[in-house]
Amino acid sequence: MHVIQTRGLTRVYGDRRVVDGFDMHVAEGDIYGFVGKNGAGKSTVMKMIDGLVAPTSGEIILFGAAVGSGGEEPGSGAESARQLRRIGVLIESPGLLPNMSAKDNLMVKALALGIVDAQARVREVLRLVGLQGVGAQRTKRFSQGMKQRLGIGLALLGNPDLLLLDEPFNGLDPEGTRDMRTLLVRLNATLGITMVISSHVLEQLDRIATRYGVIANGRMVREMSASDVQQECGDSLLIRTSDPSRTLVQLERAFPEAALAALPDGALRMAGASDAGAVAAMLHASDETVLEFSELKRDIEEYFVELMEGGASHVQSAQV
Amino acid sequence: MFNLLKSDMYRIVRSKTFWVFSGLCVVMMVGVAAMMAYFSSPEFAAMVNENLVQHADLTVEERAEAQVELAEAQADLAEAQVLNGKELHSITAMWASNFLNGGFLGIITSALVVLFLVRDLKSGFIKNLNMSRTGRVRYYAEKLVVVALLDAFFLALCSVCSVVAFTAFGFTFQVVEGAGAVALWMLLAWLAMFAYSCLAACVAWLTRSEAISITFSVIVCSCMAGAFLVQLSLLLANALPVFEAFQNWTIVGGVSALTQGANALFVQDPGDIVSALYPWGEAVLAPWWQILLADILYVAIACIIVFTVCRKRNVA
Repeated sequence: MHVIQTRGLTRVYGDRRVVDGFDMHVAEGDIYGFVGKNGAGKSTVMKMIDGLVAPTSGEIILFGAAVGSGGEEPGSGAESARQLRRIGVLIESPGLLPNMSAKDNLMVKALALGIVDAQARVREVLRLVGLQGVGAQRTKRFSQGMKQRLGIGLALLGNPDLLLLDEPFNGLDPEGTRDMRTLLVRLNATLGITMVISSHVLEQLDRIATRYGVIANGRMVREMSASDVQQECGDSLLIRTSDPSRTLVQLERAFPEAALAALPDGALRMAGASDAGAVAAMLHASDETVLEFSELKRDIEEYFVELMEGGASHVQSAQV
Repeated sequence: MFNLLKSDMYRIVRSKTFWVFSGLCVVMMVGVAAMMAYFSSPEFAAMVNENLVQHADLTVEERAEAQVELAEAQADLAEAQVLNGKELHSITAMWASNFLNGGFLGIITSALVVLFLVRDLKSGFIKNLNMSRTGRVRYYAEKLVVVALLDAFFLALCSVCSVVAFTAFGFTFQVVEGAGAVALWMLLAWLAMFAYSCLAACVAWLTRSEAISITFSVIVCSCMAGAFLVQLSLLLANALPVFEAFQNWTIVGGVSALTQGANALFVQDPGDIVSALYPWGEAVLAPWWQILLADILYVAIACIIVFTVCRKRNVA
């Protein structure tokens, strides 16, 4: 089942289409890495899903039920309210009351949600996000990392089935980032919480995401699984010979399934070859003078940047 | 909505601003009573009289004679001065002059309201409350209930503090008003403050700016802008008689009517009403009805703005 599905979601500010015909599919249990440049429309999409911003047109389906459609706020009725209550959010900066303690911030939300044993739940969440020692401290004295943790705590307070996290690793030190990553994976694995995480720290996303969605100029460029990304960023070979043109022809003949590219410095990049040993043997047999032969792993960041910037054509051909 | 109300109550009683504003009310009411007690004391009257004699254009002999006469008069009238100076018209008239007419209560309540409402949006805390369309209606309705409760709290606080303070300083009241009349006066005073707070809430939600909202509170909820408009309408009424009744339909008109005390709200004769409460306009309703309708009108206008415009604005 899709936890989130959007159809033709559009948001226009003035004459600017911030989100334009956006289609998204997040399955139950996914950790969905939401990737895009600054201003690509990630936060606006998240805000529309959470009901903070009304879509100009299009449809949002949460847990199988339509909750928002063009031109209005999220739908009326108990059903919409029920679906939205299943979401926990941390969008842009954590929404904290600066003159209140971390515990009071959580209590204010817990009471608003009508949580029965609010005090106990607040203690539990403080422990979960590692802030049990500073619960009585005013949040205006918190570091950015502590604020982020408390923001996650607020999102978790109502036992959500879906977490929308916008840049959750912002302001965290390496240890904090690792703890946060571990926490998110644990919540996903133990409680089955589906997550949509937007982040510029692709290295972190790469470690936890099970699916990806790439947004550029308000449009969904591509959705893919983590294994798709791994495969496309998978190992390739860098080959440099004394006669690159001849080598290219020979390799194309011997490995028709491989993707070959001539690099500007005269080297060849070969992806999709099943066995580096077979390639080396073929080069040896053809009596080529091999200057360099090494394995390359494509950088995930480079891959996504390529997708975001003009990767649309690459995506189209890959989908075909 | 009850959950939201519980949450806001928790938040308000833990907010420093609320206790600072409450403390300010207490200090102000006690301060006013202490100042009134001093101004009505024989010591102050003697000081004023002595000052007058000293600065009068008298010869040395005339001055000495005047001082002897003054000393004798002070001895005779000291007790009477104390009694007369410490006798106020009525409890509701005292309340009106203490915190209602000068705009103190209006500024305090509306400023607290706008700070409370804008912080919800500025801090982004509202983003934590996922809301459907129905949820947004509940959110704004609950906030208006909180506004009403804050108005009631500060009205009660100022009333109790001023009664306690004035009684402690030995003041008495010429007219004893009935419980019903006092209750009606309180209701109308609360409604006037609620109307001001609702308008301030609209400005806060529309602009989402503390500076603009506080400025509105100071200028409008202090009765300043209303008084200016009333004066303007009186000038215009010379040329266009339709403006004569304008004051009756302003919040400040109601507030100035309340300064006459609770008993004046029941004056039945239209002629008396005009002379006592509506010197510039022609009243067609009993004063308390007029105030009630005018304030409800402003509350209704504010509610329409809140539920048609503010509710539909994007939260973030």
